[in-house]
Amino acid sequence: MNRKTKNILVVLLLLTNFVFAQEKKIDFYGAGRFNMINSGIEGNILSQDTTNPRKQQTGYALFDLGFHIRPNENTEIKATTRVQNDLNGFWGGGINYQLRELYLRGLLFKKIAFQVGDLNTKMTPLTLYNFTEEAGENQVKALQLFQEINHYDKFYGDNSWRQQGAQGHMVFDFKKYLNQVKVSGLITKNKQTDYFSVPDRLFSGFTIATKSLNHLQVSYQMAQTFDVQNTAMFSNSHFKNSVHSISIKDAYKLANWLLGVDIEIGKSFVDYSQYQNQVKNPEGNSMNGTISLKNDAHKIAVELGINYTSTSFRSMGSQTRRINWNQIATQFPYYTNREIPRPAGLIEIMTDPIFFNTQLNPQLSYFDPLYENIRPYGMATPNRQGYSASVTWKAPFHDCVQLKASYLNEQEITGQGTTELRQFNEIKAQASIQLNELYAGKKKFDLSLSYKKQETNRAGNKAIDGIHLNSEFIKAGLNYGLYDQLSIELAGILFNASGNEFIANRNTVNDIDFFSAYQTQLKEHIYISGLNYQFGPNTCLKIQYQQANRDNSLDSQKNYTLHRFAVIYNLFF
Amino acid sequence: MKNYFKILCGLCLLTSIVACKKEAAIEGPELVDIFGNFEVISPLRASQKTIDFSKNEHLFFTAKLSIRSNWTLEIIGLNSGAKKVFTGNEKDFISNPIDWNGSITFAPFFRKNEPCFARLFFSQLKDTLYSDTVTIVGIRPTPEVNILIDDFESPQRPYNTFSEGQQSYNSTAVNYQGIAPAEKGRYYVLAGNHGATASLFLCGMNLATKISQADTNGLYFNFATENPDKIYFNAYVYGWGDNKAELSIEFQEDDNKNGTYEAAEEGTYNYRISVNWTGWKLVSFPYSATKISTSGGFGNVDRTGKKDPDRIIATQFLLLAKAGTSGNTRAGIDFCSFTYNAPFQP
Repeated sequence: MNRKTKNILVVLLLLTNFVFAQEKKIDFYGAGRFNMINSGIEGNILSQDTTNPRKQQTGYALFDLGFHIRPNENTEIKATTRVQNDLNGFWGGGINYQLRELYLRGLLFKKIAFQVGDLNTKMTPLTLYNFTEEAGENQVKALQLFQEINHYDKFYGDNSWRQQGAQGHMVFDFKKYLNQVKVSGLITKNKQTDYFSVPDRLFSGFTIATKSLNHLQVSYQMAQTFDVQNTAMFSNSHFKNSVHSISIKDAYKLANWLLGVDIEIGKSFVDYSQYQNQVKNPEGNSMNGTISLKNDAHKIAVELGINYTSTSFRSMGSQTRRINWNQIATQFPYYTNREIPRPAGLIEIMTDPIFFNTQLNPQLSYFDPLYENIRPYGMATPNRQGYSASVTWKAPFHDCVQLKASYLNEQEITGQGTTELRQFNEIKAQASIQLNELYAGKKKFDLSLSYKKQETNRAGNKAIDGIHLNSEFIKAGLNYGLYDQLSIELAGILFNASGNEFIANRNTVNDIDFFSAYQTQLKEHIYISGLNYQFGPNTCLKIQYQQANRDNSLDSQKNYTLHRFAVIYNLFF
Repeated sequence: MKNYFKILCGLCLLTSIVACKKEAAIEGPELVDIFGNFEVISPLRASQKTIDFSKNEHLFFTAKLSIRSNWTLEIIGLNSGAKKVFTGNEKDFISNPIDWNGSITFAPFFRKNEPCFARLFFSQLKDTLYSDTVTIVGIRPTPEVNILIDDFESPQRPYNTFSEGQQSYNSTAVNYQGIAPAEKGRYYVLAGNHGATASLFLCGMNLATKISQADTNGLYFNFATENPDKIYFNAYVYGWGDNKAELSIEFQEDDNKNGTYEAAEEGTYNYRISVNWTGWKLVSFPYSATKISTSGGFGNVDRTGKKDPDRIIATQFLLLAKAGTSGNTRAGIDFCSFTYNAPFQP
C-alpha cells in the first residue's frame, strides 16, 4: 500500500491557548462560593435520642484562584489554589489552604502533546468512564447548582475521572483511505504504597483511533490496572486488570435522515495469580451498540440499543461508582444515644459532597437497589443483557418543547444464588417546556417534568429466591422569572419504592460470598422553594428552603424529616 | 447502502449471537442454603471424649445444617468459666470440622481435668445445639509472646496517668481489687465516673517504651520485623458487661527519633475497642489495623507519612465513655504484648 504519511500535530485543547500566548503570558481564573445551611431534623428517628442535636448551622466560604502560565509558546502551566474558611472558624481558625489542581502541558518536538500532573481521564464506556450517579439525571433546576458544585469539586466534568500522572497524544494525517490516525496514552497512579504490604498501583491506557475519509471511525483501546511489584516487599497480593475494546462509529445520510452506528466490543482479564488464597482469574466479554436515526428538519431522533456484559466482566475504570454508600451523612450523622449512623436519604446523595467518590476502585462496591438496580455500575454493569429504545422530539421553533421517552429491558445472564434470572424493566419520560414561548409571554416560565420507573422481578419461592421490587421517581420543577435576573424556583421530587431484594456481599476478589435479604416500603418526598438571582451566566445567588421526608413503613423508627434553609452564592470567572 | 455498512451490521449481529450464550453456573452461594428451612442434619459432636492438649492433640467439632447462617460456637470450661469462641457461616462442619487446639478467647485458662462442652447458636435463629461433655486431661502450654509490653505486676512502675478534670472521680492504677487477674496476680484498671453530658474522654495511662523495656534500656521496641501486618498487639481486656466503655489503645511514634514525642508534629496510631462483654477477653490486632489520630495537634500529623513500629516511643491507653452513658465506667487490661505473624493464642 502506497502510503505517504505526514505527521501533523493537532492539539485540540492547546490550540486556543497558544494563540492567546502571543498576547499574555499569565492570566487568572477562578471560582468563589459562599454556602450557609441552617438545617433541622424531626421525626420518629429522634424518639430514642436525647443527645444528638436537632438543629445545625453549617457553611463555608471558599475562593479558588487559578493561574494559567505560559513560559513559552510550547508550554502551559495551570495551578489552582483553594482557600476555604468554615463558618465556625472565626478569625481564621477554620481556614484551610490547598492546592486544588496543578498540571503542565505542552508540545514535544512540536508534534506530541503531553500533560503531566492532574489529569481528567476518560476513554470509552467499557474502559474508563465516569458514569452519572443514580438520581442525578434530569435534575430539577432548583438542585442543579448543588449538582454542578459537587461535579466541579470532584472534577467529574465530561464523565472523566480525575487522576494524577501523565498523558499524551499525537495525530497522523493521511490522504488515501484514512483521513486521520490518533494515538493517545496515559499512565496514572491509582494507589500509594505503604512500603510494607500495599504495593503501588498504576492505571495505564492507550487508544489508537482511525478516521476514514468517509467518516467511519474505528478505534482500539486498552486499559490496564496493575500493582507494581517490589514496591511493598511484604505484599501477599498482586492485582492486574486489563480491558481491551474495539469501537466502531459511523454515520450515513439516508434522504432527510442521519443514520448513526456506535458499537463497542470489549474483553476483560483479571489476574489474582499471586494472591495467597488462589482464586480463579475471571475473564469476561462485553458488547454494547446503538443505532440511531435523526431528522434535523423534524427535530426527532430515535435510538435502538443492545447490551451484553458477561458476569465476569471486570473493568476498574468503568465500573467504579460515583456514590459511595459507605459514608455517613455530614448533617445529623448519628441518631439514638448509641450513635447509630443515620440512613442517608435521597436529598443527601443528590447534594452531600461526602457521598461523591473520586477514587477508582477495583471492588464492585455496594449500591442501594432502590435508587438504581439495572445499571449500578454504568454501561459495564456485569451480568446483564438486553435492549433499549428511545425517542426524542423537539418543537420545531425555539426548542420550546422537548420530549424524550425511553424503555430499557434487561435480564441477568447468570442467576445470583439461584438458577432463576432477574428481569429488569425501566421506563423513562421527560418533558421540558418553556411555557412563556407557548403564550408569547415576556417573563421566563419553564416547566420540567420527568418520570422514571424501574421494576425488578425474579420468579421463585417468595420466601427464598423470589424478587419483586418497584421504584418510581417523579421530578417536577417550575421556574418563573419575576424580573430579568430574579426568578422563583419551585420543585418537587417524589420517590416511592416497595418490594424485596437480595443484596450480594462480595469479598475482596469480587466473588459473592453471602446474600442479605432486603425488604422495603419507602417513600421519600422532597419539596423545594426559593429565589434565584442571576448576576450573569456564571454567577448566581440562591436562597432556598428544602424539606425532605423519609418514610419507610417497614422500619418506621427510622423515619425523619429534614428541613434546610440554604443561602448559596456561586461565582465562576 | 454501502457494503461496509452491511459488514458492520453483520459484525454487530455476529457478536451479539456469540456473546449472548448463557453462562451456566450460579453466582454466589445458593439462596436456598441461606434462606431455606433450618434443619439439623447431623448434631453437634466432639471428636473425642477426652483430650490432652499438652500432647498437642486437637479436638474437632462436627455438625451439619440444612442452611448457611451466621453462627457462633462457644466452648466453655465448666469449672473455670474459660471460653473459646469461633464464628462463621458454613453449614457443613463434617467436611470442614472446627479445629480447637485448647486456646482461649476469654480468660481465665482451661484447667487440667476440667469438663467442658460446646454450644452452637445463630444470630438469626432461635435454635441452640449442645455437644456432649469433653474432659481436658492436659492443658495447652502457654506460648511465649515476642515482646511483653507490661503484665502490670510491678505497681511501682512510673505510669503516667491523666484524666478529664470535671469528672467526680477516676481511678487509674494497678492492683484493683475484686476481680481475678487474667494473668498472675495484678492487672491495671482505668475507671471514671461521668455525667451524661460530660466529655467522652475519662482518663488515660501512658507507658513509655523505655519503662516497659527497662531491662534492655531501649527507647523503642526492638522488633524483628517492621512490617505492620506482621506485628500483632495483644492484651486481655476486662469488661463489666455494662457496655459503657471504649478503650483506645494508642501508639506514639517518635518520627524524628530524637527521644521525645512531639504531639503536634509526630504521629499517633490508635485502635478502638468497644468493651461490650463480661470478663477477660483476649484482644489482638495487627499494627496495620491502627488508624492515625484524628485529633488536631495530638498525633494527627506524621512526619514520615507511614506507620513506623520501630519508632513507638510510648503506648497509651485511654478510657472513653460511650455516648449517652453515665455513671461509673471501667475497663481492665492485663498482659499487653506484641507477637509476630499471628495473634497471641494462649
